[in-house]
Amino acid sequence: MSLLSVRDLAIDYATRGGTLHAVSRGTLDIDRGEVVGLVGESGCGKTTLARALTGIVPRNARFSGGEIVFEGRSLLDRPTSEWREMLWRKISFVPQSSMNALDPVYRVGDQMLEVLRLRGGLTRKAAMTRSDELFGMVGLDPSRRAEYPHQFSGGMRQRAAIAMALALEPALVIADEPVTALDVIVQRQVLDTLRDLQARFSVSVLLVTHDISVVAYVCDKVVVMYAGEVVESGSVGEVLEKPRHPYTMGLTNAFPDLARAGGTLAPISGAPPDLRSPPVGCRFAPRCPFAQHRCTTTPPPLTFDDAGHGSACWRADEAPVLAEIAKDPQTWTRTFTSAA
Amino acid sequence: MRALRLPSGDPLAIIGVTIYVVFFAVALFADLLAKDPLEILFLDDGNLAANLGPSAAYPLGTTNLGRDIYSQLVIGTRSALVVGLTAAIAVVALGTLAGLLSGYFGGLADQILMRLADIALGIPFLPFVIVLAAFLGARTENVVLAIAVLLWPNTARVIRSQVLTLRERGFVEAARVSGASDWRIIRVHVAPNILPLSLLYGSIAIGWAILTEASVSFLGFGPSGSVSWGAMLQDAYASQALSRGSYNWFVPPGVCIVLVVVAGFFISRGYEEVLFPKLKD
Amino acid sequence: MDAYVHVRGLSKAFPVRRNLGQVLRGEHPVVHAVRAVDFDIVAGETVGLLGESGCGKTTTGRLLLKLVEPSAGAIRIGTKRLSGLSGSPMRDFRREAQLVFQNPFDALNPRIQIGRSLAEPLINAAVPRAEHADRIKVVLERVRVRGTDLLERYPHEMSGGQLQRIVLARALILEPRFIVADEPVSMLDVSVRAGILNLMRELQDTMGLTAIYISHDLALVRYVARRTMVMYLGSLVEDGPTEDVIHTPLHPYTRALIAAVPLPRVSQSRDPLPLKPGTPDARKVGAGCAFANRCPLAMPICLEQAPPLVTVAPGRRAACHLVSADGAGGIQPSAVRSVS
Repeated sequence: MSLLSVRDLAIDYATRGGTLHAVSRGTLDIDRGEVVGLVGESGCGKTTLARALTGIVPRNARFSGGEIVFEGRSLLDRPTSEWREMLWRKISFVPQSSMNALDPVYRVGDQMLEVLRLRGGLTRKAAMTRSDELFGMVGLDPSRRAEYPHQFSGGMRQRAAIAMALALEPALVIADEPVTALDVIVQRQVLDTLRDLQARFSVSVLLVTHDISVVAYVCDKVVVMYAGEVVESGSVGEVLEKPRHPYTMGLTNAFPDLARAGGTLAPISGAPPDLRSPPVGCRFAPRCPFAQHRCTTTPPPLTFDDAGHGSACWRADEAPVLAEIAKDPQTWTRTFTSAA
Repeated sequence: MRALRLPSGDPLAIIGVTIYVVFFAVALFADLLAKDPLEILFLDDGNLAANLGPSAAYPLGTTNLGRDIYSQLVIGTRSALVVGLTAAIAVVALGTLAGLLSGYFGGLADQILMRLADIALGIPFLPFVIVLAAFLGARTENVVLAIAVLLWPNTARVIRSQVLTLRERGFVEAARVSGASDWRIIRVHVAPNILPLSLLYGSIAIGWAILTEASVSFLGFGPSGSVSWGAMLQDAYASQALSRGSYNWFVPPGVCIVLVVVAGFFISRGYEEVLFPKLKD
Repeated sequence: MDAYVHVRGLSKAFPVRRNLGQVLRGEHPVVHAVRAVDFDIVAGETVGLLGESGCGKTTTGRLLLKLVEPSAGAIRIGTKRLSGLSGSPMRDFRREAQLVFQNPFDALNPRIQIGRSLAEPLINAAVPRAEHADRIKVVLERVRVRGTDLLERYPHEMSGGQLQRIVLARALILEPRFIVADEPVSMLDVSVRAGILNLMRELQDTMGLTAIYISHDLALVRYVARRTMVMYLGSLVEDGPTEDVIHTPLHPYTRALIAAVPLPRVSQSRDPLPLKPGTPDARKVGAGCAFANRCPLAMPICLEQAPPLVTVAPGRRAACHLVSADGAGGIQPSAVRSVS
């Protein structure tokens, strides 16, 4: 049984221009000890979905459908207070910029102690010992606990945020673009630390990122989102090497691979739809080189095969052929117009 | 101009603009709406028409010297708006110019202007106005001058900090790279982006100026013989209208001052939403 | 061949905020953003300038466009020496050299319509108004943007990809010979990045541009630039054909940088990086090699003496004592992760 199961989650934002359907078909499963990557472009709903799992949503957002089941119990039926109670102890969060996670006016060590004592109920002494342990685990010198966040480098702050997230040994860590703001070497080191600790604690991680290389480097499974919907999910190997959704195919083509010399990158022409009035059919259809008539009229369901590789495409059974065609950059060439 | 446009859907801003429009109309047609505010009125029996309550002939009654309160209120709108607007224009012009120059050029210009601003901010407000009125004469121009001298630094500082961030924006750098002169950059790229902020401070300054003018008049340092809301309050206070319960005398000018000041703030709120749209959500 | 861009001893130091002790002692501490950098670029060449945040790559770009004045050193671009350039030659230089910005959402004045933003450089260069419409039309075709209604739009009405094309168009409208592109795609979504990169590649060829492409992403640099210069804490540490730099890096820093890049595929090396723990700090660079505190191969001499940037082979330079010692480079290629 999976640790976390999200089914057809829908989250709307009330905006001046009308209701924005930020997430309309959020479906994903995370097993115990698994690292799942949630990828997509800006505005695809990945951050909204991930943050919703912590119960913290913006004031103008509301859950308008679907369910979230965590450790066998539905979360959406529970009062928010109970949900909040689970934060840190069951589900913890690492934000993109740990400048946000760490309060600039308190010492880093004190913030860690606060989590351990208030949320974990540890005594001061036990909390101190544990805090030093955690600092050591993420590769921070425990003697720097008396410093303030601004005295830390970006990588160190992110390590501190990870240490805090792991402090109470939660079952699930949600990391929202945890390495995006970091330089490549620091990014690699932080990812290595995250992966080590994940294995040591056998904690599950949901890693939100726009970078499929990061997913390929640390994740077991990947969930691809487009325009508020999950369009493909499965093991990293399956999804990246045998993509079934044209969006995933396009994404892999658009990404430079340091290990692949030459070749031409192909952009996906056009832009994602306005989520206040999304297309009726498949949301990717307006940009999809393989779109057919039914794609523009009926949204394809997210269906899974026996191996757990799922995709939401009417032409999923033709995927191997389409993937070959998709490798040709010409497939994606369409003149850029202002209407796009 | 787009920068000047208020959000049309903002109800508070609409209320603010409506209040101003009404007061402007009153000030403009004051001669038609009111009689001589300083005329001393007599009753048919020859007695002074003092301390009358509201009636058909005198909608707001009369003062202890037998003057028509309604006419004073209507004519007083003029001086309030003249003081408010000229002071606001002066404050905004001085503050915006100083803020633009010191923010954009930095260096010595910045040092000098900002130290001047510090000095101006250190001067206590009302005492300065009173002293100035005492030395240069209790004239409306001097009240306006005092307000301008003391209020420009607030605007200048905010404009300056906004210019400092604008200066680092990509589009300003782009203009530099494409060879635009400093003046052109200020005119095309910087000034339009701070204009709403200037207007925000301008609309606040109107309220401040009217309030200051009223305070000065109320304290008895205002231009003598002039009719203004502050002077009305002063007269009412001096003749103990408050203890007599002559609400018809001191409430109307008080309400007018509050209305104009509040209208200024409502409009400035509207500009704030133009500037910082996030306030709305 | 004569160099089009000729840079010698280029240095830039920025003053840093003084603490009380330094104020009392009358000290004026500085941070050296760029340290005695030498390089030449021939006309028509595209060079990648690679490095992590704070390495001085952006400052170098700004120095080349005379947006900041150097503390020391000389720059010549074409026939113009930048030092003391003013008046009419300065205006000519502004037509000759242009910048492409990192953040397209910030690079256009939000209160000005696109058409006017595009006309700005023409106005500044005193191009007759009658020619504006034609020039704009031509340049929009160049950057593959169609639709004249677009000229009446405001920046917030457009997507990031479209905006970056407009930014590119504005940079190209005066037909410059030299372009500095500072992370031009880092703010863009993956699916549109490729379009901008392809466009830049194409324009380099069709317009014969000389270009510097500043980035922290080696994969992107490789895609657009045949030559790469690597910067570390203000100094050039390596320079050479991009493929050589990737396959046989001479400097230990380059080696770590390459090893740290995650690949968009499951099978990739997850070995620890060839680095000692330590953080780069521009304020703490002493007499020795700036990288010595993190270098796994550091020798005693590295702490005492900064290695000069020496020419190892034609067009191939590196600043490392291991390389200087035996000419060809002491770092074994086998130590380098094979990437292709």
